[in-house]
Amino acid sequence: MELAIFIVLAVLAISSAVVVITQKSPVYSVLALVSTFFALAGIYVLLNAYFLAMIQIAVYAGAIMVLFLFVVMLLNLKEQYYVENPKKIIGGVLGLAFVFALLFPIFEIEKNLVPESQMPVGDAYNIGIRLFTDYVFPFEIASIILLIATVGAIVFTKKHS
Amino acid sequence: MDAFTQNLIFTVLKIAFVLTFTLLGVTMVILAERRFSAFIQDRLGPNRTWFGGLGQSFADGIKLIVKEDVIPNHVDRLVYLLAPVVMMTPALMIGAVIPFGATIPSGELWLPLLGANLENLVLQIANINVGILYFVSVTSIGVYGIVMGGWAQNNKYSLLGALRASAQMISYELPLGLSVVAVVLMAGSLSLGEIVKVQQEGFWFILNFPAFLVFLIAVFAETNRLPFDLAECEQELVAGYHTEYSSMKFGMFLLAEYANLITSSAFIVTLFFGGWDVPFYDETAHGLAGVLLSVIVFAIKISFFVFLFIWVRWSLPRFRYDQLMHLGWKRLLPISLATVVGTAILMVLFKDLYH
Amino acid sequence: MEIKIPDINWLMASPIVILSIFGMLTLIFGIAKGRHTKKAVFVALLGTLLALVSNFICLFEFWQKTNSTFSEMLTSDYISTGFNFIFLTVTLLSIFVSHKYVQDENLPENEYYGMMLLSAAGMMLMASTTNLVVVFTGLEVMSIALYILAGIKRNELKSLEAALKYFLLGAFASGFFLYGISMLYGATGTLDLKIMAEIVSKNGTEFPMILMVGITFLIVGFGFKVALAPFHVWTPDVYEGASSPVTGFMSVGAKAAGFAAFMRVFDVALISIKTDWIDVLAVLAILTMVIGNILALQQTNFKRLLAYSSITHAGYLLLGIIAGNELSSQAIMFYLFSYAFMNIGAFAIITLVGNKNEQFVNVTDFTGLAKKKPLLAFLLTIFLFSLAGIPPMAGFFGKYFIFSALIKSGATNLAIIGVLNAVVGVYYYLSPIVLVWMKEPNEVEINDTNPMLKFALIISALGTILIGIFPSQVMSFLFQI
Repeated sequence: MELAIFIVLAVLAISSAVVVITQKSPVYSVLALVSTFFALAGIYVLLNAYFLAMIQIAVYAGAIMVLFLFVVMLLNLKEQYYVENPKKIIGGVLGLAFVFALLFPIFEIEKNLVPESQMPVGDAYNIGIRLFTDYVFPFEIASIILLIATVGAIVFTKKHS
Repeated sequence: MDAFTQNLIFTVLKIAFVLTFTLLGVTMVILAERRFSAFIQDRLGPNRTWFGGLGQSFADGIKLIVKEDVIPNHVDRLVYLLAPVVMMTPALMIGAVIPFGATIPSGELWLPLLGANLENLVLQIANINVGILYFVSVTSIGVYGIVMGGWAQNNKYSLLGALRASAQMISYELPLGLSVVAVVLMAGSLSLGEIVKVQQEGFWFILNFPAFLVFLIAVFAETNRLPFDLAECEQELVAGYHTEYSSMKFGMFLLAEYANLITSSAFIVTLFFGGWDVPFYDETAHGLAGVLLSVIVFAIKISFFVFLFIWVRWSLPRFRYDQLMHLGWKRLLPISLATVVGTAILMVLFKDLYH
Repeated sequence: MEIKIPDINWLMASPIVILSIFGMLTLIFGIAKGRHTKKAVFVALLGTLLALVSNFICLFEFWQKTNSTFSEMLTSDYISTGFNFIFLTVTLLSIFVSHKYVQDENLPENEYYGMMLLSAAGMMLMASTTNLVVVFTGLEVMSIALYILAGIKRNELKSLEAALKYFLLGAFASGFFLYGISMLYGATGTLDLKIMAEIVSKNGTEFPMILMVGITFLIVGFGFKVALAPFHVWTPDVYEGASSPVTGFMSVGAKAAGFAAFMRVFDVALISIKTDWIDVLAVLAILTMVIGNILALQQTNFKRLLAYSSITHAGYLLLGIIAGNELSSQAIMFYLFSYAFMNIGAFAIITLVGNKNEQFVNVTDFTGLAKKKPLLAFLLTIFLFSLAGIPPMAGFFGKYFIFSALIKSGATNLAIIGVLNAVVGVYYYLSPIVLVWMKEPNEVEINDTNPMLKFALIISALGTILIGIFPSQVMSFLFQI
């Protein structure tokens, strides 16, 4: 049962990811990306990471992709803006090589160095405890990253004085 | 009968109940809105069909279904067809995590198909431990229906409506989420069942009035109701995102809007007004009757907020767009941040209030 | 619910914390009193100096043994304090170089210095941790701030182009880096490099493929940040487009931070499987040195010339990683320490000669500088000699230590290739010097009423010469040998 759900979600995720890069209309790409995020959220649920799944939907699908869609629609790009690029083939070959590099490890996953441990439930409680004890330092740094990004956005968009 | 089958049957029953409640509720709410707005404007409103107008919504529904389904030539077909579905789905999905009645204790159900080892029956489709986040994420994807619909119609007005909707949703999601955080702080859990339980044992969370206020305003914005219906805005955008929808596709937009209204009211009740909690009454005291009472009380509370929604819609004028952004980012966001901090401080100072 | 707060040693965190706080203060000063208070630079200077002081205290407190705090997230040892010195020196010198430039070009001061300080804090994070999560967050703090700095002159298309290029490719590289980290985690079940080292060495030659793929991705990520060929293509464009002081700052700072983390990952965590990655890195090192040198030969823009030179330097530093012994880590730090002085010095001169809007940054604009400003020409000569690795400048000893570490580890062939490249490099460093000293002056006017920049120049020159004259003393100070 779990495997069946996983396969459905994985196929959905991968096929929509392919649509993202093959579609010429940017709006379709964004919508396909949204569906990838949903499939990923489903996979997180299968891994017991409910919290992560919900955050994935709320933040990525609910906020970030809406902004993407907003910008794409505002620009209202037409398909003729896309130029055929001969470098595409090189990119494709490299991409395939990349896929194979990622496929290799999958077939020997049992050779992992770490013993399979009990999978903890990824609920808000466990994540919160880890974030505010062991990972409190990188957690705080993340706030600096956000601050920098905010300042950067303002620096680049502020009106001249 | 094994436990799995039992669970399955009851889950299906619960789903059926919630869906029926929402969809029937929608017809009632539409009628109520029309009658009430008529009252506000000193008119009569629909009062002929069936008993004093009760059938009006059904008649309208039949009209919408049998109407010719026009798909304009210039639309982007796939997205155009998908949009009403995408709009409808989250509106109905939200109901899955709302607890709509007290738990039925084992041994109280007399249905003949049950085995002897029946466990307590929780009146909630799925009591997941991240229920509130589910609510936040599902409401946040509700905007896709509007945005897709607006874009697919390929005309300026609809696109403008879609743009407004997406910006508005993003802006008001933050206060919404933050005011929910205040509730989570008080309840100490993300599970809605737990939140109702905490309120039942202590005070209702309306105690945290600023959070409630922010939540209420944000919910108004998220449901695209007046004074926040800039995505629709008949006068400027000729109905915005659903200008070129006809027949039942239009009907689905309408349905989704009102379904959102009901589920949002249900959430306000669950988070701030004790959910199905009947004040000063022990729901488990009288068996099935007590449970039934809790369900009815829950419905009454919901109707009160639905009424509030309608009342506001027909009393207040629409925002201008800059006012909308101003309110969202410069007023609600700081207030909700202050609410979170304040709630956290108060929770530390008065530890015994809830836990 | 009982939550165990980890022990916190604030002294250990103090250089980073002070720098971040002052970075934010610099930003806040922007709102305090309108835009033209011109105080930001002093806040930034104060912060850097305080961080320098606290780093000194850390050095004397922790140099003997490795200490960690924040549940092993933050480490203080001779590598971290040494690299912190490099970053703080770079920041200090860059602030001096920037001061007048920022005023003349009318850049947003508070944001400029704030980003500089926060970026330096990110660099310090990368050097003072053994945990990959912190390495990554530090990398992001540093990179995002640098993207902004690269494009801060946003009226100019070139600057914006630099920022955009840097941002897009940098984000791509960060993705690779993060993917690599996740694979390392998948293979070993830990993010802590010390524990990872144990796990990897315990398993000997038997390790999963996923570890290898993870290492490859990490090399790509690091390779981008420190500008190794073939991940170097962004470097010349970004270095040319960004403002000269910023270029000086990021060419040294980002490189040093990248190599600090590079060193910790490869020479600490993965040292026991060295035979598996050494060939890849060797090929990369040779490619980097050769490509950097060959392309530098044909540059006419001074900033591009130094960009390719910095690529070559990354190649030499990579040789140090390949050596992977005690001596090499010290050699890398020594190299970067001296590189900080000479490179920022060189960019300071470019800033000065470039004048308003950086109109004179071609090599030919420096023609006959000796006749107009002999002292400036002399300083430029010192920096270029040092970059070329001519004794007795600091650059020579940096290369010397790296090559000797390499020979000690047995890779004599690589050392020979390195030396050959260094010899080729001398050519393009010398050609501007020939122009400066042997040719008649052109009509480029040099406006050198810039006391703070002069001060930075003097410091850089002193650093370059003194480190070159007393290399062993500097080594023993940095590492308390």
